Amino acid sequence: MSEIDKLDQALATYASTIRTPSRTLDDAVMARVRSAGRGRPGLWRWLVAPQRLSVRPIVLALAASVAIVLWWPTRAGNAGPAAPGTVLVRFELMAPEASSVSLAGSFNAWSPAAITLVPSATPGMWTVTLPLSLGSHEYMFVVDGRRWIADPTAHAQVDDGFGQTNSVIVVGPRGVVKS
Amino acid sequence: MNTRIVRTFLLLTAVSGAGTVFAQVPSAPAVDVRGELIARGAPADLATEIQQIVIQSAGEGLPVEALADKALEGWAKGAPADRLLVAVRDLRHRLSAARLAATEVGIANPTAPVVAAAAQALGRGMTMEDVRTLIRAARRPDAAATGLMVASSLAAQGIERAAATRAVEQALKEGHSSSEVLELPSLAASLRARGMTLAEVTHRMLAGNPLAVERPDISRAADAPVLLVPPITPEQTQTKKP
Repeated sequence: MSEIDKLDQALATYASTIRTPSRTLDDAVMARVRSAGRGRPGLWRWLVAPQRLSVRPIVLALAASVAIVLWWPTRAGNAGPAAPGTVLVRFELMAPEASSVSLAGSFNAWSPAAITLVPSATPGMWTVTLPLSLGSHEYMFVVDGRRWIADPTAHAQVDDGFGQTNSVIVVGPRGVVKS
Repeated sequence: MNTRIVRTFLLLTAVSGAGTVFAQVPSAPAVDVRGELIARGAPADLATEIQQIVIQSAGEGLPVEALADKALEGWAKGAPADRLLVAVRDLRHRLSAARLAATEVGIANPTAPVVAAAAQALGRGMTMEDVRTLIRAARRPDAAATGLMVASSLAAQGIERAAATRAVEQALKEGHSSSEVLELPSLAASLRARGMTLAEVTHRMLAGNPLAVERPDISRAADAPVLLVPPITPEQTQTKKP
């Protein structure tokens, strides 16, 4: 037997003793090789390095639902759910000639543009619903950004000390019955 | 591990969002009224003068939120500076008088809501005696503030001042809660909307227990029609105006 034949026979014998490694073993070894040079990954490294995520879709759906319910900005004309200790109160004003109507009062530091009403289904009617704390509130509507007018449906009208009258409502735990 | 971190992050985000929403309450007027006025375009000297009034009032133990609110209201409505200052000073005097009335009935350190409500009542035509009567009738400070607020609102609705005071005094002495007393203005409005005269409404408030009237559930008032009508009782059919 020539030297080459002996070498071939030795290689064949050796090859027969080697088991083909399983795929999982391959993956595990390669993962070890990849991580060997990186050391223990810190939070910053985790944050900046691309990550493979595996999340159940239902978890994402639930989180999105919660975010929509809790974070959706309050749209003009529609308040979110009333917080504890507050009651939803609807304000309406018939102003068919107005191009904008807002609400200013003791509940928003008299900011004349913070709370805007939106046109309702009734032609000329503007409306907004707000959560208000229990108790007395004074307010006025601001039409077209400059005309301050009282709410004819409020409980009462009182002198504001500036030559105009503020509308008054008293919010009870069961809401408000207006005129 | 990455999945757990993402899930935890999403859960914390949802929880923090819920906390943010439930922590939101209607905003109160800023105590730094000077800064707020300047931010809204008021002249610095006017804002400073108002701030000085607020600081002096705070030193006297008066609730300053009402003063700040009045200043912001006046500026928002475009009131001239001199008129704005007059209004703020008038309110300060009423707050001082209100605090005096509370101390005269034995409350050494009346709470800010009581003083503010009493000042509001004085501004709506109630007398010092009315204020003292209602504070005495209340069993707790929060009930006194509510009673004052409701009585002055009833008076502003047109019910005779003394009758409004008696009606609320009666409700407080009968032990009705602040929540129940808060319903009196809506009750008066609904009775008026049904055609009762002010005299009839006043009589209803004083004759017996007005809060015993059964009313429809108005907890969904925001979605209900603006006008709500309580059920008609037999005696009311005999008092309807022609």
